[in-house]
Amino acid sequence: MTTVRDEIQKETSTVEAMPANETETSLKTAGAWVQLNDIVKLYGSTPAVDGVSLDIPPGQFVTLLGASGSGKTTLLRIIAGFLDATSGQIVIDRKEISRVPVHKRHIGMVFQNYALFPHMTVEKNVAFPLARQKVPRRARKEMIAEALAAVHLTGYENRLPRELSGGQQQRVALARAIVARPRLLLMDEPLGALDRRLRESLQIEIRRLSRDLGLTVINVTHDQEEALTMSDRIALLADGKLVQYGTPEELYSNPSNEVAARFIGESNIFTGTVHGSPRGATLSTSAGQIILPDTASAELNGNEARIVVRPSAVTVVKASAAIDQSVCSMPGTLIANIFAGDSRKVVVDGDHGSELIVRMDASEPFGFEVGEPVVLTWKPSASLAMVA
Amino acid sequence: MKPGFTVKAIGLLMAAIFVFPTIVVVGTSFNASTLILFPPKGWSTKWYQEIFTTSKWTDAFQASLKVAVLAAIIAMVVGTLLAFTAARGKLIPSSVVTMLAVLPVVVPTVVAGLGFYIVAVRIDLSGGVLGLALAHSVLGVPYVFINVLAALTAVERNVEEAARICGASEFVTLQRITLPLIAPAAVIGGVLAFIGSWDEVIIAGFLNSPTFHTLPVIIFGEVRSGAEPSTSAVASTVTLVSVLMLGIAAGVPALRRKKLWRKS
Repeated sequence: MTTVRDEIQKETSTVEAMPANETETSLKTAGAWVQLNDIVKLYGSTPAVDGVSLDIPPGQFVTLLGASGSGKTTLLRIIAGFLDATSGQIVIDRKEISRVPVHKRHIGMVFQNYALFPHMTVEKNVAFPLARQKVPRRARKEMIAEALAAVHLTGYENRLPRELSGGQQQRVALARAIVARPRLLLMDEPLGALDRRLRESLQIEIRRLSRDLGLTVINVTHDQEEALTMSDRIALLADGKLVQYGTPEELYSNPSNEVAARFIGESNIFTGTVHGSPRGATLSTSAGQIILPDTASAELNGNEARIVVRPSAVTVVKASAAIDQSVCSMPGTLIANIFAGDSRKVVVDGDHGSELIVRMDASEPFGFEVGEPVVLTWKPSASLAMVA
Repeated sequence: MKPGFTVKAIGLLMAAIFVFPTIVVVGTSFNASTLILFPPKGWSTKWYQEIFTTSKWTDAFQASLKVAVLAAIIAMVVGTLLAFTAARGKLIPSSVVTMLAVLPVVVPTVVAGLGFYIVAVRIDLSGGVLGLALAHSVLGVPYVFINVLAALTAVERNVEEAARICGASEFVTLQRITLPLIAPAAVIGGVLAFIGSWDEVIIAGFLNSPTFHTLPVIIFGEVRSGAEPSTSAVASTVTLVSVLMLGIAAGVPALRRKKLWRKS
């Protein structure tokens, strides 16, 4: 808890320390501090959200990541106020807001299908939140112009939504969400309906915008790549529970359990029993002995455990090659060699029925044939041990 | 599939059969003689002058117009409310509401007319604009209901949620977002309800009085007691108004688009 507090203080102090000349837009706000305390949402007796607590420091970009049915959208809708939590508190800037109606929460939101008002021009769409929040008419014009400029849509004021492309519509939705300077922005799979290239350029744009404005963002997605690219922190959800909450690096390099390891990036996972020995602990699996990393906890000794090895940490060598006893090795047969542009994906059929993946630099020469027996090796320190 | 020659021929023949009576009526309305003849003998617009100056016709014209407008307005309000109940209500199952709203299409008009007559006489609403307008509005409700229900289903829930999170209360959301989005559908339904009332003769026949009758009722009476070309002229005018109203109904969405376009 103290670490989070410290980070908040750090965040706040950096915001305060921001030099004045960087404030080129008056859309800038201080982000909201969002705390979710033990949120539960039951449908009948089935929990859609099962006791999620999150502390989101001001100005952070947090992604709720999870497969469909993980409860991420339900959680977002509870924060927005479209759904009532069965129990738990939503605290924004130290104020409990569970009983505040949607239209008084002063939150910005972007929806997957844009949800623009089809009978209103772009300008009217963006003006809508200002009119509702009784912003004086004189001030509106400039705020609208600023919001549209922020999403690069100046000059589109009099278009109707149906005259715009999907990407443009989503940018209008973004302008509408930020125009009234909310301190919290919610995004419900905002890029899900767009094609890949547009999605990537909008990811960068949204991230730049959220940094420039300083607002807190809670983004929902099932796309791990999007989560890794955009987020300060990722909250990984599965079956309504919070699996892990941390920076993209933490989630990738130090997944707290198998669910996290499988969801973020590709993984080779081995299960077995840990045996301590003078040379360091090993995991006995059906595929053979695997050396545990030095960092593995002593508590694992004698217990069931899993080892996660990222495909990029694995090297392919000839079956005949001499192998250093200090590295882990696993024999198998090369069954696929997939060229993927920037990387090469190699699939190896382990001798004991498991399928293993190797990622290597595509520019390096690859001297193996499909069907050839090979050995996969990796340094124990590149793997991660966890309780099964 | 491209229609073959036979299909086209049958289509054209059917169209001719449907349009022919109207052509005959319009043609006879320009007769110079006092007999309804087709093709017309001589050419004259005197019957049109007559119907627009004789109080028998102008009174009926006014009665028809008042009834149709009132019926259309009531149908728009009730049909829209029923559509909201069917689409959004939680109290009554939407299938029940739909059944109720569409029932007037199924009930034979003679039966409905008799029913309205019995009730209207009992509560002293027979022989007046309000009584007939109420009865006609019932016939118009299904048009409005079906149109508005379709429009309401097409309004994405997210759009209303977006309005809410932008700071609009439920009432403001209804007023600024939902109603404007379904308004064209309600207007089209209302126009259809107007047309339905405008040429309705059975219920209007039940609910008329010596001093109150609508155009179709008089036309029907004239035909039975020996009509003059003036009857044809009235019938032609009635048709023209119906066609014009239908044109409005078809033009509403296009007009809307144009209005918004012009601003850009």
